Amino acid sequence: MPAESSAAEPAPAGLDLVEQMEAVEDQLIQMVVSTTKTSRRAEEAPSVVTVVGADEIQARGLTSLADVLRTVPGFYDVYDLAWHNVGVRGVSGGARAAGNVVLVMIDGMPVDDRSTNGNFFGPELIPMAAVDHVEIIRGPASAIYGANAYVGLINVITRKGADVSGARLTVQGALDGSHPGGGGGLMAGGANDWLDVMVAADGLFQDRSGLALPASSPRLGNASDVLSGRGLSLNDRSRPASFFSRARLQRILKGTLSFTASMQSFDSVAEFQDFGPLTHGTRLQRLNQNYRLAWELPLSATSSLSASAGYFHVAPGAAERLDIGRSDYLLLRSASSQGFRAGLEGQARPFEPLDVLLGMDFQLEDHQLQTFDRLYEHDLLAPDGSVIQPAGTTIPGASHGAWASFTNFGAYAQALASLGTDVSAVLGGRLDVHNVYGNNPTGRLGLVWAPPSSAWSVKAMAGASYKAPSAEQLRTQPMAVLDIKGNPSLKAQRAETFELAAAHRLPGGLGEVTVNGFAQVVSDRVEFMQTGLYLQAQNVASEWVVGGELEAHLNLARTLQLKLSATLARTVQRSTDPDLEGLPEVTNPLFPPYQAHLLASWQLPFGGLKLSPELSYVGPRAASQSNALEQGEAYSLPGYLYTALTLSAPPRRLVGETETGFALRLTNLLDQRHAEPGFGGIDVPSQGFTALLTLTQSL
Amino acid sequence: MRTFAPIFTGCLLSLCACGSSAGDSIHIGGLFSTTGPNAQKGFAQLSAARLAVQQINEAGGVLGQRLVLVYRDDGEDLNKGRRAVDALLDHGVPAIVGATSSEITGLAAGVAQGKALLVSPSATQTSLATSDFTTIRLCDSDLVEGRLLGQLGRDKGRRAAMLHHGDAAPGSLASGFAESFPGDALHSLVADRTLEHGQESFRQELTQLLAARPDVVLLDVDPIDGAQVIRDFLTSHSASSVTWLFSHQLEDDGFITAVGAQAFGFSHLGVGPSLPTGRRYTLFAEAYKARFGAAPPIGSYAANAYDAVFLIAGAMVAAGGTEPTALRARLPQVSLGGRAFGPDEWPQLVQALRAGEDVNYEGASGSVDVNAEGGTSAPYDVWSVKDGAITIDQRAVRPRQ
Repeated sequence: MPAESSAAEPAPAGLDLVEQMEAVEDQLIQMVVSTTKTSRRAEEAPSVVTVVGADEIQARGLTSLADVLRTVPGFYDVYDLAWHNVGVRGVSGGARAAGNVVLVMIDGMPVDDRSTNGNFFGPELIPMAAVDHVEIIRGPASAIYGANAYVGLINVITRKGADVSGARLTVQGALDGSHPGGGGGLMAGGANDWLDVMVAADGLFQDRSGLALPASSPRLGNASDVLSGRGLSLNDRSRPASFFSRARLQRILKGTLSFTASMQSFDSVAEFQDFGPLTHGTRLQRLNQNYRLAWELPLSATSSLSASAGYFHVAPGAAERLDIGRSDYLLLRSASSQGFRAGLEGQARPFEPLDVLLGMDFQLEDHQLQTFDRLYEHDLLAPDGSVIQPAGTTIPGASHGAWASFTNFGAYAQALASLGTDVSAVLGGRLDVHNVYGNNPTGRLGLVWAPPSSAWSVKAMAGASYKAPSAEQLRTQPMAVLDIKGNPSLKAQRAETFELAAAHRLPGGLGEVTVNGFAQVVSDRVEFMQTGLYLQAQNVASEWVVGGELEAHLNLARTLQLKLSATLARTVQRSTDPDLEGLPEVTNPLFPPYQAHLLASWQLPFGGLKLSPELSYVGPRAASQSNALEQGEAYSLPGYLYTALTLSAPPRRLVGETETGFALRLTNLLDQRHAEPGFGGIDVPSQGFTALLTLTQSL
Repeated sequence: MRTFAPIFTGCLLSLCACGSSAGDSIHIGGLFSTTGPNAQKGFAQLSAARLAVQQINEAGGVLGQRLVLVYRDDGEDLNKGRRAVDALLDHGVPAIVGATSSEITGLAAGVAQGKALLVSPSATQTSLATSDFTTIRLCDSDLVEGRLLGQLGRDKGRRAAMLHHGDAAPGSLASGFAESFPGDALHSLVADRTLEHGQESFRQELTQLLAARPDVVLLDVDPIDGAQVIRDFLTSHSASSVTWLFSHQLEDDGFITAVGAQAFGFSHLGVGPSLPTGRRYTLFAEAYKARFGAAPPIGSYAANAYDAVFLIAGAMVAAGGTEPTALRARLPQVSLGGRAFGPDEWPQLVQALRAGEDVNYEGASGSVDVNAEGGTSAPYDVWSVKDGAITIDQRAVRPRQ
């Protein structure tokens, strides 16, 4: 469900200073829809929310959701050069999680990989040109959205066809260290009085070769480990591609019918995976598809009904190969999912101060369980030279072809009451009934004081949420010994979160400062433990995590804006066995206890150019539990400084009637290398200096 | 002066008791292979030891103090194992439950001699128990298991072969097995190969071994190498009619998963520690499942680790302190003869010891009667893999004399 109002618009030129400041102040009025499924001012929305608009995305040359999240408070991304493992507020998903502690949606449609519940944060998620703005909620959202809206929710809101009105070509040139790359995309859209259509597709090629395992990797401490001799990463190429399309037809059966299609093509060589680091033969490919047909019917001026049905499918690509370091065979993965989801939702205002939302949804998923077949690369010879298995032979792995069906029925209700003009309250709850991991009730309560005439606003919220075990966590077969094996008795991980937030609009349009604190108790926390020859996800601990976030937008001058964000997150209590000493005590694995980001936007006095420097400091990140066990003790990766600089110009008429824009983004300007926590005895290197030039041309 | 003497003696005894304690707790070591090829056994043993410590503390602790398990993983690696043993000794523990493997137990016995009592739940190497009087084990020896496997092998064929780690030195499992194939007219050992740890493939060794046309093959290696051997066998020699004889090392779910649960259609059988029966084991297994969510794995010697903690704690009560030599001396008073007590009768056992009674700890794993050689005698089960799971075919078997 797209927002009615888009995020910040650029301040119009030719106004005096006061008018400029007022215009900037207007920009700060951001509307969000994801919090309650109704459009509300961000400061009135009963959640801690950040909105990043298309103009900022263009001005900073951002090419992925991971880029967007890098400076959003409360988030931290551990990128293993294949998957982005995004954590929120001190909570990470663990090995191969791909950020499954948050729910990522496009226009309200979940687009996660249903086999793993992991998300696509790279350029494969959506063509960034199609993004109008991104609504980012920190905190629980299961009370409306159900599973995996656990510690955060990200809703990517796309442009309308009417806003595109034509076609736009994007061309990119990239440089990773000394390795060139590039890509491009095309977006087209238009609208008349009954139809609004937008279509976008893009792709990117990057080569990140030449990286070494960080010296902190516990396995490097063992001189006899084969890892010591594997050298640098080779042919480490990624080829993400994405497609998005939406058509809206007005006046269909007295309502609006919309069709949405979203595809993510993830394709990356993976040199730093726990199962086969630097084996030079792993290429991961996933094709994720989501389609939705939705019908919205206004019943009256104060009530509406919507119904939706969708189909999703995810499967490995034909070129996927997993190299675990064997000389005789590679592994082929079987792990696909498909299913249907349907929902019915009604909104009504039975009387003036009260808005009610009622809904239900059903999801049926068929999972082909993750198994691994052996593909012999060369003839397998007996000692006498006879061929035992010819090259190209595939031997099915254990349980190959096994399927499992998951069903989930969810029902939810929300009451949103406006108590006068200054105060609003929300009360909501949801029950999910799943055929494998049972009943999961969640709820929320929020109180907001945000007088339109006051510079101050205050929110207090409490909510419960849960992260569902994925099909992979429940049932996967291991690739080899010491790999992950499914745990059929894994339960959902739950959290109860308490938040207090305040915002203050500075006088004279100088900007806005928001600050919030949170405390969340996580129960049945899932960690991967070695329970034999294999690792298994297990519900092992409960913990309290507390912290806070600061976000400030400052208009220092007419041409200079600053954005400051900071995050604190710390586990303060963790369930332990009082009768046992010696297990490495790992707190906040993969998540820095503190981080700060400073972004500036400087409008240069010529050519409409804008300069956007970024400076970040990220504190130490604790190693994963599996690495601490391998090392024999807990350890942390040192904090680091991150720099980026973007020079950009918004689309403008240079030749004829067509518009041309560009963004040149340089990251890690000082080429400083740092390590990120990994799994299976390895840590992961960071990328060095990169450059990306994006040119856009309207057609 | 006479008034102060008992007080002084009491203080001295208290200081002795606190030599291994921190504040109001007594620390004992736990040395297990929770990583490495026998991690399933090691992890189950750690869990069982934790359970025992919890139950002892809930029933009043030891010498009026809380018992704490100080755990270290040896990774079944000699370097890591040495660091782990040193760390435990630096911690000052008077007794260590462990190690999981014979190799690390042997290493620890050498390092800990005189400094800590070592009670291993699963170190089956024959020479361990006789080498050092501060090292005991709560399982039977490799030699006995080898003899049983040999006798089972004779029932399957005349020509035998062996694949194993280490050598076939006197007292080893391989030597016990070989006794049944003396090279007479009826039964002979036609091939004997020692395998290196951690090879990518054992195809070559396997092919050479099977060229000798054995009827039965003993496989006594860790689960990782064992799984690779069987996978190579299934890939390259699936038409062979040989019968595989697996040692206790392979009585491991991980071995089955690594081979493939549905791949055990070939002729095979295995031998492992007999799954205990009776009320005490049932109580232990129920408590283990309640705390850790799954039953103790078959063949993991988990109940033996559980009993090791109770024996050490009982010896501490009997000795009135934690001095390692005193603990070793008091073990027979706790494990042999006298009035029988189970782990669920810890307060009563403590009361009896304080009254100077001779008590007989009867554990979850069995009678745990530590003999003069520092070991125990226990029967074996014969198992095979059916429908992807370990199935016990014969219970409580011992080799024929």
